Amino acid sequence: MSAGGGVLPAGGDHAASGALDPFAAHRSRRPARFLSALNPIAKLAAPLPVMVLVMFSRGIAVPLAFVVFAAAVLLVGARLPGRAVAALLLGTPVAALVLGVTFGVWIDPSSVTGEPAASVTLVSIGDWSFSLAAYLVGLATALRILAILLLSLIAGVTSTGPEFVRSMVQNLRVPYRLGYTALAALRFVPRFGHELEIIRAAHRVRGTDAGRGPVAAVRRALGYAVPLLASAIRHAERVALAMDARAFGAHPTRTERYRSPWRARDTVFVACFLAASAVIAWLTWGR
Amino acid sequence: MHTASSEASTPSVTAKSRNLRWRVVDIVVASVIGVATGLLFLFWNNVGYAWFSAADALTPGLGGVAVGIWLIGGVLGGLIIRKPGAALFVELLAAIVSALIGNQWGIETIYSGLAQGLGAELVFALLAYRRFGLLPAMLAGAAAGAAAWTLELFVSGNLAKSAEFLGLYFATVVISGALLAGLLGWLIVRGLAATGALSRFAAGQDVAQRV
Repeated sequence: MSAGGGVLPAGGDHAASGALDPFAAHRSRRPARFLSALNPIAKLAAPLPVMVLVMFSRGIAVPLAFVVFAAAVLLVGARLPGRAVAALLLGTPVAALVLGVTFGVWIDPSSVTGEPAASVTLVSIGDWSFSLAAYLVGLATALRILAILLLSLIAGVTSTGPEFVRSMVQNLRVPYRLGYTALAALRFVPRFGHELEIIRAAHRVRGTDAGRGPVAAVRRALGYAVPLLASAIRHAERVALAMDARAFGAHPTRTERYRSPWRARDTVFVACFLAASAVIAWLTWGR
Repeated sequence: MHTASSEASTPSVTAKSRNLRWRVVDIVVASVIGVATGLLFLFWNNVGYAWFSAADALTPGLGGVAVGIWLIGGVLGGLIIRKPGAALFVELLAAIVSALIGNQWGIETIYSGLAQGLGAELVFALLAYRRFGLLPAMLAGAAAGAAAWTLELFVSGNLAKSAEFLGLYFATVVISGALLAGLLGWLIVRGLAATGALSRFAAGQDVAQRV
């Protein structure tokens, strides 16, 4: 997802990209489609009841309808790069068909013997056979998962991590001490990479050799874990000291650089999304 | 031996200055542990998932043995910070980091982090945030595993699979949670305390007092 690249600059180039205002770049880069202009909470809240509905649905019709619906909302509402559009339009059906096989194989055959499609055998190896009914159950499962994935992408592809945190703090009353500290901690990621290089070099300089192969790789990784965490905690204590010195969290409220208001259009989006979902569910339920 | 001593000294420390409100240093350190755990997840998303797939191919459901490392955030957060919500916060943040940087499960990782963190948090809450020895750690890991199993009933479509699969998967996930998350997390916290990095936390002061 493109948000990741903006939030977490890779490696050493974060000094360049964050020179003036690290958020300025992707605020101006996004030309408006309606999803980008909405509050992230609206994009998170509206699909949530639909996801629960899909989770408890049976059969192919309901999840299939919501896969199409979510894909349509994404295509209309978000300006996706060409590759993402291709992945959405081609990858989704392929994923549904392939996942249908992998889920269908593990279906308990006795649970589908009553179905008429159970007599249609697709593949049989020895006395194990893969019936059409099992494939249909697997396909329904795959479609449910894809529907939930696409519904969560509505929020995922059109808002960045900082935007989520801001609206959680401003609209959902998440304590700002937690929200903004977590946001600050996300910026530690490039630092960890640097720290890991130092610890690796230190191990190498001391001639530490765990050997070769996967078991040694796991042991080596565990050997990095404690020094990496210790140095991270020491760094965190310094950051906490600096924040305490600047009276972070001293007051119950704080000023905001960017406002994240809940506007009328957010209410309209949630209402329309839920209304459309209700109509789709009513038309397809039980089919 | 170590369990007994650390469990015995916990009430004396907490009785003296038991403050369940989060200090700024708690928040920052919890965030950093969360991010570091998220990076560990990124590593485990390759190594652990390979193990998971290999074990699952051997016997469906056996893949659960590799799950434990993904549950370690809750144990680490609970054991180090020792405040209400720490286990949930660390595991959730780790899942968010894992999802943001990019993994094979995308945004659904965050739901897993939420469920697994709640599982571990529940154990620490039931013990009233007073017990942080080996046994509570292993219980928290096991509970995180049980919560992960419950969530996957729905989001991974496991509900449709056979009872044998679900039983085997539950057993392996819970055991893996107790060992790879609980025991390993407890060992890591003990190792960290030995370096002196935790001296501003009750977790580090327990070790210091024992000497």
